[in-house]
Amino acid sequence: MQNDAKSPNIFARLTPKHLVVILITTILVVGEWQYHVIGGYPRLVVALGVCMLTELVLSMFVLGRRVPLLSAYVSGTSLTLLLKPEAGLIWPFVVGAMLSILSKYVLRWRGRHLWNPTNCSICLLLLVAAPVTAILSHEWSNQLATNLLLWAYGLVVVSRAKVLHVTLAYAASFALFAALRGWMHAEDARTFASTFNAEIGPLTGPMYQLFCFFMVTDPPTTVSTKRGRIFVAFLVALAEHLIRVGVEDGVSWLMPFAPAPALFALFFVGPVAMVVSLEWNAHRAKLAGRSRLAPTT
Amino acid sequence: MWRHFLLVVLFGGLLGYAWFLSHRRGSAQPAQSSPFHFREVSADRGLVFQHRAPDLDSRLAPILPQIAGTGAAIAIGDANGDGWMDIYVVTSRGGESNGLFVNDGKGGFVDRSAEAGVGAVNENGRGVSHGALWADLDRDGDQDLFVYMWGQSRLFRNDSDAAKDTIRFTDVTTTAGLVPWMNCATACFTDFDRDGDLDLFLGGYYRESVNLWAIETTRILHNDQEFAENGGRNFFLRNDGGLTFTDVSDEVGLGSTRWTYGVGAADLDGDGWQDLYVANDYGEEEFYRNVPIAPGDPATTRGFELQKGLGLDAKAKSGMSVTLGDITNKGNLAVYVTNISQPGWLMQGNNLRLVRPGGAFALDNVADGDTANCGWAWGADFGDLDLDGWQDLVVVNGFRSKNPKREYWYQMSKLATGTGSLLEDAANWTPFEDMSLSGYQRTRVLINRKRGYRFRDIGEAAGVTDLYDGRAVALCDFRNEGALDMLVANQEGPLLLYENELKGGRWIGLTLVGRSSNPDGVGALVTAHFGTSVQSQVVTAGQGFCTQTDPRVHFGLGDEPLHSIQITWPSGIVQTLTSPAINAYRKVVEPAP
Repeated sequence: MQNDAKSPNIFARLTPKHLVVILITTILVVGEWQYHVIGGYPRLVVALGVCMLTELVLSMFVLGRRVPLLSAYVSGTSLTLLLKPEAGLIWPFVVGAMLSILSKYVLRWRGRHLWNPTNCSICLLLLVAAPVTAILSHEWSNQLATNLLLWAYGLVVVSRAKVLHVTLAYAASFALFAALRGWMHAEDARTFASTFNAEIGPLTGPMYQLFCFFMVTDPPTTVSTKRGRIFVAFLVALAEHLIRVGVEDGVSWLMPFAPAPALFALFFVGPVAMVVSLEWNAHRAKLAGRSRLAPTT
Repeated sequence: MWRHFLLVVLFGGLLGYAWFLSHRRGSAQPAQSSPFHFREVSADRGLVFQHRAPDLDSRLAPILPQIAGTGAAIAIGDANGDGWMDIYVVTSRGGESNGLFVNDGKGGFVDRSAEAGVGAVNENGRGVSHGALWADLDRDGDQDLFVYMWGQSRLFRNDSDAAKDTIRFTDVTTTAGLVPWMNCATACFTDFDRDGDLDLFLGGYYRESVNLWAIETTRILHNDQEFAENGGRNFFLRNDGGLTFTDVSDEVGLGSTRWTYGVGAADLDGDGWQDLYVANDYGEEEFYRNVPIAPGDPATTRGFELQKGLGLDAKAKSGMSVTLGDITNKGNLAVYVTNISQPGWLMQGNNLRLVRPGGAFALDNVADGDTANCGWAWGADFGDLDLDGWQDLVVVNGFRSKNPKREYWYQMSKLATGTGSLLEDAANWTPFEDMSLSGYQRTRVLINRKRGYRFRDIGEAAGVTDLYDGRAVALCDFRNEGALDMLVANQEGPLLLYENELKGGRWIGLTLVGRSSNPDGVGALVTAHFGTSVQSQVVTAGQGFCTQTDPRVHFGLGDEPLHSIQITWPSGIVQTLTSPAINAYRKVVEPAP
């Protein structure tokens, strides 16, 4: 990543975080302009305001210093785009925003936070506040051109942010498992196209755009190696596949996850992968330290 | 360490707080008492009728609940002119008969559809019913019947003879100039050009090129969940008198191809001309203002202009119905549009839009709490159920109640979030089998709390406990005693009559008879001044979801003295009744200009 502060090329000086901010802001502005996706500006103001304020207060309280608010901005914007509670309710955005930021300070392992903040807060709200909450579904319309445009733009940005491999790994894995489910549901080869179309459908929708570009790629909550990230993306798709199959089969304890299988898959797989990765890295560092200390012969 | 502990406590506390708030709101603690009580009496009153879905092309059979999820409808009118409200109720299955339940004035109903010749109208491949409307279309003093259909709609002239107690209708469809074929999902009559004849708005759902009994392609569904414009065309037919109509859709500017489900007609902007408010499934609501499109005779120079900038497009939704009422007792109408709310999946919320008094025309959405969240809501109706002087609201809901352990929402979510080309192909949809979809939802009876646009659901306490999949609902005083009963048509379910057991109370009802205006006074704005209240109601012929409600206006008065009633007729004539007698229905004839 070219982020030399002295570089005359402004684009080259942008960090991955800047690119994400630019992308999500563009999505927010275009989405509101074209489809009124926010559902009322109070939602945006509250989510952004509470996220930033919470970040400010907690960073001072816990770290004793102010941290940049870009991350809080992304969390607030993502929350506004993804959370769609009952009409007229603002408190889910207050609680969701606070949970997002708090999760970074509360749910930690070896000094790193484990969950993507927005993923964490939305999944928790879907579980504890189920009677009044829903997530983004088709508010972005079903127009292919819009989705393709967002995909193209998103891919450019994640490519620039060097996390394209994560997005592609997840998308490819999703398609693979969609084909598997399509095959499982098809009566014969003739009907496979229909069942596959149904299973691949979500990948072309708006929620998955946000998921592919912002959540599954979130650098602070993904493992350190490129191979590891690709593997984790595959595991997320696998977990999602298992949730979907379970929901199809009527497994009752999986039903709360049915509205957002991808989000819940990441909610469960991401932190586990992070813990394993952190422990593995610590173990390796420990071994490396021992070998450095060991007497040479 | 203590800091982290504090944050953990805060984190847990927030989760608990969210749980508390959501379950307090979500469960909508049922009211323990109700100022009135409903008793379901359909069987006792002779109202035995079952709606059944149509049999369509076999390729649509796996998702028939989606394709034919509507069709249960009711139209209330006085078929035989005896002053007692009768009921026309439809089914959608080919070969089965619609019902014409004539009110005997003693609390009972008799199905006289066969005698009247308006029962056997459902034929596979020709047309099955989706709704009906009563209106005096030929200005001969009796109520003619229009049955709108998927296929060829039908028009019946009323040839009944009250003196001989015969009830007979003649099918005049072939000479009426109706649309030859459309999949009509809603309709209303309105006199858009003020010529005294009622004109007809028809809302299309599936494209009119689609014959649902012999489809040429399975790509017949919507291609967008919130912005679809590939539905059936809307039509507007001008009444030329003599039970003949002319299609003037293009001339008047009504030819939208959204998936129209609801329509209401009223002079919402107060300029003296009837406007149209349209609710579209998979799309935004539309307000069509009645405007001059050329100088000269209004019969050829009035039209409709879609109004932008009102905020109706700010959130495209799944508009199911349009209902007009006055909830604030300030004399300004409210437009209630139902939508879908399903926790976890889709919380669209209903809209309750108040016409802003004074200044430029504007609508303010004040839906909140119980008015916003009514499940998968369909029809609605306003009426003063407890005669306290404030209009209450009933809303029926639920899509499909089958196996309660198998829910179709997950299946629907797969394609609903995907690209439109996948969505519009019925072949891609997962078969419904025995799955439910927002099923087992109880009808909401929302009592007006008299301030701040707040309503409270008292349905359970009031005795409304059925869990059928309601579509059409109408409040009507079938016993002419002042208490509004509730009639509900359920999809693939029975017709229900909830009798209001309220005793006493102060009220007044008016039956309008137009002279310069249309004979039914459709479109008249009736404003009652009682105490400090000013309540307005509009006479409609078609609103809610596939419903024609009581054609009379009915005001509960509470304990307030009734000062006067002002009637603004569609012709523009304003008539004032000073201190009229209460607790009775009164016929009001439009004065000469």
